[in-house]
Amino acid sequence: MADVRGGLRAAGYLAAAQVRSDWQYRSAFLLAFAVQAIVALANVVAILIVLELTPSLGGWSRGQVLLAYSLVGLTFGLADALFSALEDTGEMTRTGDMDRVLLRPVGSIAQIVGRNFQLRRIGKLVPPIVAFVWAVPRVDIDWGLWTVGYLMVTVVSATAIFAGLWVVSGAVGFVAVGVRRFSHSITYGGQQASEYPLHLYPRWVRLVYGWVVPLAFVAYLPVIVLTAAPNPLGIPRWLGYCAPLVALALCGAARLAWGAGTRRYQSTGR
Amino acid sequence: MAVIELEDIEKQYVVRTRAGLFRRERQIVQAVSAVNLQVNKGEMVAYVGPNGAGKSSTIKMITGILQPDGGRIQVLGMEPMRQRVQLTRKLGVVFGTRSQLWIDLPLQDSFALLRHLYRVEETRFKRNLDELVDRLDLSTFLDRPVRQLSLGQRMRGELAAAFLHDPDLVVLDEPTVGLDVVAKYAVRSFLADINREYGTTVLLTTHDLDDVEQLCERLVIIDEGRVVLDGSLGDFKARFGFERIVVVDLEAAVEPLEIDGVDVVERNGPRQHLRFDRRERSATDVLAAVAAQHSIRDVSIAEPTIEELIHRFYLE
Repeated sequence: MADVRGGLRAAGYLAAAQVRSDWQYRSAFLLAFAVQAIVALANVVAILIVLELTPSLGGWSRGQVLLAYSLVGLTFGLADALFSALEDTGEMTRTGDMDRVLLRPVGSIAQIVGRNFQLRRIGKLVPPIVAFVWAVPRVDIDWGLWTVGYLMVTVVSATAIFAGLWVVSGAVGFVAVGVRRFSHSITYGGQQASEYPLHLYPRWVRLVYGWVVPLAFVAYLPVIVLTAAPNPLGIPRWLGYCAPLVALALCGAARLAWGAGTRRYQSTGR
Repeated sequence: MAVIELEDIEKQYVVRTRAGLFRRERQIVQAVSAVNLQVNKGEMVAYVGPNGAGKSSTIKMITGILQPDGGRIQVLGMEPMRQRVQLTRKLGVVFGTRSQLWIDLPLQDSFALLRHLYRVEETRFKRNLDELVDRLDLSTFLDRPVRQLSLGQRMRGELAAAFLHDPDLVVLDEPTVGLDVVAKYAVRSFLADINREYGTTVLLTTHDLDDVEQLCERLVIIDEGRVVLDGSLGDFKARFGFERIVVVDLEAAVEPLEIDGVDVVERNGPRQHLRFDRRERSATDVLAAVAAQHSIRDVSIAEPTIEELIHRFYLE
């Protein structure tokens, strides 16, 4: 556990250094921020338009669809802001920067996440927050300690699920340098697929992006549990409480994959 | 006490070359074969060899970022790969061609960050930093962004960065590459002082004979993955260094000079590079022979690099 704390602290220092470094190029920094904000705003407008035009999707009300969208956006955004730097492993392997990471007494994930931290990625959190605020009064949730707790556990678990996916895609980068596109189909593809209710998709998409990549646990099942949304697939309700277990299992598997990736790096060198 | 112990270390790489549209041929390249090396505490060893000889592979195996394919390896009593994180706490590594500093931040920020990464306690850090700033004369540019430093200043910063956590072993990969004479001197005297005063074990690779001459009593030469010499600079010179090159500028561009026991290795207008074996002829002897044929405008003696000497030794 001391190891995790040390890693977190180190990642924090590295991230702060990265932000200070970026701040050296102020105009580029601010421009990137502005671009991110515009993109964020455009996304908010786009989702609002979609919802204006479509009163409901597959039996889900506008509020329910938007709640699912906001949960996906929020948790994916958090994981993306914190962990998407891991997709640089391939590049770092190629340039030899990975050597330096391995020469320091701090966990490699913490170092890579810290040194490649980009503050502007936080901009991706804006549209889902807007959507969340918009959606909450439009769904029927019995607010109480239990629902708030459930929501918080869901956000943490879902973030961990997405983070696990980033770690896996980073681990793949050790092995094959040019697989970024493939990794993106899982990470970004998963995010996009889970913005809409799962039952709208054909069977194979549901299988891949709902269960193999376990994104049903991120938003679809929580919205069913929280708002008693229609469940045309007849998925057992108890699965809606399994997100923490799924997150733990996925993160454990990701950790193993990462370890295998580093070991492979060490046996092939550059 | 042995700080580095390599026993019959082997390393192969699989290189895939394109042999068709989809077919690729596998080729196994032996990077390091049966390398034995023992470095004791407090030693300062130069590890030398041509590019591609296996130097970097050896260094990576010693520092735990590369797994040997065979043999036994122990560094500071640890297995580098298995105990990598533990080892890095006692290890300083400098790559002459790759910085470990944060280039957009002031130099002192890099030191502060490294303090956190290595978890050096505040008082020890302050003491070490003060000493390093003093020894390496960093005070005038501590608050300047690293990207604005000269190469010499940057390398002094790199050295400080590698020594902040009191490493027992420091590995330097070409620490003097590209530096001017003054900066080279600063790097060398720093390493010599630290080694003498603290007994820090130092392993360095270089292409510069002067580094070896001024720093290292021991020289290990690797070529094509094998250690070809492990001894003193004197041993090296006795074996390889019998060759001299004299560069003469003549009054006019003439045909290559023909002198017994002398080869013209390069000709550039009136300038000719003459190579001879100092066991057979002396430089004055050679120059007298040249002067007998043409008038000489200028003379200089070229110092061959270690690689040139080794390379030619193996070609002939």
